Amino acid sequence: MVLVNRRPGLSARLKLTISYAGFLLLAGALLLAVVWVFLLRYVPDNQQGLLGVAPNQRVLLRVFVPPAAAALAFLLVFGVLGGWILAGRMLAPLTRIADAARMASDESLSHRIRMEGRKDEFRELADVFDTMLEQLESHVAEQQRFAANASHELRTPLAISQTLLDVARNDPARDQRELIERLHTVNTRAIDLTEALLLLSRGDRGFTSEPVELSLIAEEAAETLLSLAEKRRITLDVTGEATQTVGSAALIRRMVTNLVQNGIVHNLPAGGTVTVHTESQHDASVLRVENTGHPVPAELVPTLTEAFQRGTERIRTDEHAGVGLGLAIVHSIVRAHDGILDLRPRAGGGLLVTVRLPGHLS
Amino acid sequence: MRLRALDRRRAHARPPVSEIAGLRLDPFRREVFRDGRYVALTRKQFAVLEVLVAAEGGVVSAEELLERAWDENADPFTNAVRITVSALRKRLGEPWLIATVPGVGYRIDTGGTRE
Repeated sequence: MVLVNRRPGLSARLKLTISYAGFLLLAGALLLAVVWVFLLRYVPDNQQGLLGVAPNQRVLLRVFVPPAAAALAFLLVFGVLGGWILAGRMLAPLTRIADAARMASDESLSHRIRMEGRKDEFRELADVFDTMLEQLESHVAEQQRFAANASHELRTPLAISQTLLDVARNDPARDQRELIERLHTVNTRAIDLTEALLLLSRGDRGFTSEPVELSLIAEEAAETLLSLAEKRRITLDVTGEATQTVGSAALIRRMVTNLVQNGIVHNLPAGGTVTVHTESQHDASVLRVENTGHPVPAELVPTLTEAFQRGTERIRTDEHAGVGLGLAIVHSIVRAHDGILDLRPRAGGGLLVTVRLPGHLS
Repeated sequence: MRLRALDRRRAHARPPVSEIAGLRLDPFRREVFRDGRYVALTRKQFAVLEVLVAAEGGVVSAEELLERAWDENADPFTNAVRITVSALRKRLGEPWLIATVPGVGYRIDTGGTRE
């Protein structure tokens, strides 16, 4: 933490107090001076005084100065005391804001000032400060989620490489070229993914957009995941027409793969279906992934796209159980492509996920 | 000059471009054209088409396709071949180029679109 080293100075409260008292004193002295000047004009400067009764200037001076000085002294004390109290009251909100700022810089971004009272400059500052803290907090949380996403996604290809190497070590007679070819594929995917994540981290818009055909990507995802689906006795179908959009092919492939894999994993124990459908609607490209499964409570749906959130049925322990980042990644990819992600529970159980991406600008 | 360049390329044992029934398949660049129009294919669709094209119109059984386009770990009862062939057929467009020979396998229909 960088703390600016400043020379010690007067506190704002003391400065305000001095100004209050100073102004009060000045005003008092000015008033007395005015009175004095106007009063003296009518008082003769001789022995007899005014009409022989009133005091002359010298007497008046002698009588008037001590009480005037006393009054000024009282004003000074009053000004200092009153100023001190008033300044303290005025500055109290600032102290609270400073406390909150100190807490935020130490560790806890969750602290809020929540200043009560009617609107004034200080309350406004406090509110702005609260808003800022809120944004900072959500931003930091998002960064943490991102780091978790990234490490999870990167672990998968590394684990696959590990398995391939283990298999090769246990069976030296195996074809080395095939191993190299597979390792190469896995490695390429890992690199693509790292680059995609890096690009995603740079303000979500850093990737180069290219024309992408959604139905081809859907078929590729289905090819990759068909064996998983058949192992779970789930029918995987790809329907629909060629659908053009623009974006990062690597990110969109990841998005579709995550959705289809989710559909397979969170499905009925046997005999379920996953249907991937693509179509162009007006100026939008639509991808729909629909899967049978256990009923999903409606109140659970909004939390599904949050990192590490898993539905109730997701306690499987095999390698495809996931750690609850699939939909979070889908969500951020859809957002990065200016798309809309819609999740809703199906009437008979399972989930219907609709992704709307901007259509291909021809 | 150009011919020599072609010669040299050939010397590098590039798999030859095959053409059948209006279909042009370039195994090296992994590109497929039908009647001059580029057709985007998935990896498995391409592999299946490659096997079918190599058979030059002969019937290829589903088992053989599975063996050659998938790895040996593939489940013998998988629907992968049927699904991939039907998706491939759709991608190549009409008139349908891949014929199903019931109970036997698949083949490229060389009679239909030949000019």
